[in-house]
Amino acid sequence: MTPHAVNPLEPAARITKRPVVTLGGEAVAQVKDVVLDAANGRIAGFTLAGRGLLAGPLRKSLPWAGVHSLGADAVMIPSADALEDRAAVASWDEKAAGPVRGAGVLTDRGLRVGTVLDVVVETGREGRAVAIEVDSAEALGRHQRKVFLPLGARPAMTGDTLMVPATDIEYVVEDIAELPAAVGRKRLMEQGGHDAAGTEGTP
Amino acid sequence: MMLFSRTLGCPVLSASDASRVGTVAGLVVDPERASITALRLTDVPSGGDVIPWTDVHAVGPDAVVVEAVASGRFTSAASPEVHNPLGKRLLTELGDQVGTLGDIAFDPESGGIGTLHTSRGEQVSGERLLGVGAYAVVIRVTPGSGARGITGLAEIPEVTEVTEVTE
Repeated sequence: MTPHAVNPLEPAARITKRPVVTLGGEAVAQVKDVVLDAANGRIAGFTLAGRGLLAGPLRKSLPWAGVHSLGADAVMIPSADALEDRAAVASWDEKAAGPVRGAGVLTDRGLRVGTVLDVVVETGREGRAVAIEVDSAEALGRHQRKVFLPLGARPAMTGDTLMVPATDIEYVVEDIAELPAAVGRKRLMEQGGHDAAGTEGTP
Repeated sequence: MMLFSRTLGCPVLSASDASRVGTVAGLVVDPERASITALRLTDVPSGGDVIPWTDVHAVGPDAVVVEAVASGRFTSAASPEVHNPLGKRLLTELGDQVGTLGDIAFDPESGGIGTLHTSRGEQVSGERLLGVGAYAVVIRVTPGSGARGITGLAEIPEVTEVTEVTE
């Protein structure tokens, strides 16, 4: 396994309505929403809706532990047993609380760089939240443009504010197609010594 | 190996009296053993429409010949595990669609599945079958590997040359 490989990336909003399919080939639900475990920068799970005639909120949810893989066309689960009570993921939701849409993005130098539009997650088996889609403020020199900002492994998040290292601004890209490379560069920097001065994970 | 699309629509005849039992309309697959376990028939006078593979005597180019079957051996296709996989979407276990299932090359003797032909002209070994359901046919990313033993992504199914299947 290559350490810096980045799987295909997608805004969480695009995963909504994706079918949840067992390895046996049965579609058992569809994704209603992606729930994030902000403290750990990953997907906590999914809330679900029914499919077809049964469309509508489902009393079940899908914790990430029950996911076989998040793919471009389906969320694969070993079997319908992977679904749990709705509370299993809803409680994660309350505990984790964000990076939610509308949260302000602030650098650790106290500069406001924009607001969160969406979270970008990695497809595959890891369930990592690797970046945020930001409605950029003047500070980025691109007022109200949609840009993508790679996230560290443990984003510092309180309620309505996401704090990022000021040095991360150099990884901002405007096109999601350039994001995997930017995420790769950031990971490479993080691995190459922590001389970037404790910017990572400070609350 | 024989292509299932060629068997579709073939008359099914009884070996004992050459009477017409029905017409091949589909198949039932056991993904674990990568083999055909039953044929689904239409135009069946006796009522039932799924005949177990063990009752199939021969699959020829022009007809399928079955042992003398009591109509009790027939089951109804209404049972949930009866899915006709041809034309179904083809998903990898990672959740990526790689086309639809175009055809199945099978051994007419054993019913064993040799390869799955995708709508994109690729061939996937039958041993990579994981599941055949109402929604999709699911394949492993790499042959024979345990479901959890995969690290890489983006490995589209191994592509082999598309060869003309005669016979």
